Amino acid sequence: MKRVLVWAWVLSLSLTAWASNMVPNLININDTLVVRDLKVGIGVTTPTHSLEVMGTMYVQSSAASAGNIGYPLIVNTGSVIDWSKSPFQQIDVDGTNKTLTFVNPKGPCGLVLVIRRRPGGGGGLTFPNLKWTNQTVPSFNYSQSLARSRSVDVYDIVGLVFDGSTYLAEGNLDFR
Amino acid sequence: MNRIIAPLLLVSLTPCIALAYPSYMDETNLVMAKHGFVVSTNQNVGIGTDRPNYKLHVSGNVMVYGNLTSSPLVTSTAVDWSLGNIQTINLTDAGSYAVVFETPPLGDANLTLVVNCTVASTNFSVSARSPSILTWQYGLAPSIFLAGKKTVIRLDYSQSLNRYYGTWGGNY
Repeated sequence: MKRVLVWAWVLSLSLTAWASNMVPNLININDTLVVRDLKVGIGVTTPTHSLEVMGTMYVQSSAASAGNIGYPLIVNTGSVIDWSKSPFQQIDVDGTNKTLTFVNPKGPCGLVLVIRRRPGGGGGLTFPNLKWTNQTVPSFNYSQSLARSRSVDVYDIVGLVFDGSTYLAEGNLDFR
Repeated sequence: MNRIIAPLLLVSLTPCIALAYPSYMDETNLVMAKHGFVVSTNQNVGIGTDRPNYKLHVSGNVMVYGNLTSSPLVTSTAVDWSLGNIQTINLTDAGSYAVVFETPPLGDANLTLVVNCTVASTNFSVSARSPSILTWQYGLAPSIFLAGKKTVIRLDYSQSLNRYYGTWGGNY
């Protein structure tokens, strides 16, 4: 009897290991919720993003008010802005000239680039080929002497719309 | 000895059982609310709510590590904002364009309409179907539509007021 139980236990352990390996790659609940290749589709049976929703996504914090959709603010020390990681990014101007390179987001969306001008750090930013409102590129060349005279950070904000192929940009400068 | 092996057997078989069956079901929801997650029979998914009214209805906040995008749609002059938050309209001839926001979004939303001007237009108007109201910053409706350029109209929509608040920039 003991031998039978031991074998049953070994068998059950084997079954558990087998079942763990057989966690279905595809979960499909009524074609409404699909989990496939580590991607979740809602209203989509073959999602190509981590979460893909065919329909409206509605966020509320309570019955009476809207909730937030938050993103991490990515602080860049280099010159590559990877918009696929977050639509909110920051770059510091701290004494060196930088020629920015953009990595596209995954689809059309609004983007915000916060430029933080550090005290004591002048320098310039050169943007990639964007379309600026009124075809006017704001000046992102910052005087070293002015920067040295400041003791606090100053911010510029560039708002962009990525329409799937083109960046449409406008600058709002000198937040302090 | 049996007293030791039997619980071990039960514990080791539990994952198999858990994998095989959802933890809970009820009559109106396919997967269940005690985990704060619902797939409803009306083919909506709820997180933090057991009565989802939208394809994905979240009661709580959402954190996205990546992008949240809305498919680009080339609209007609009748704009249905329930189809997407970022839409594009192409001006392809120099005639009059009377764009009407026929259908508002399904909640408060930030909206963007990209006007892709293949040709110049001096007779472009935007309005909202009543009872919705469209107002512009400083009372200035968009007026710059230059050939080969883009004009971007940004809108904040308040569902409770049924009102669009618009700003715009041109000559991109």
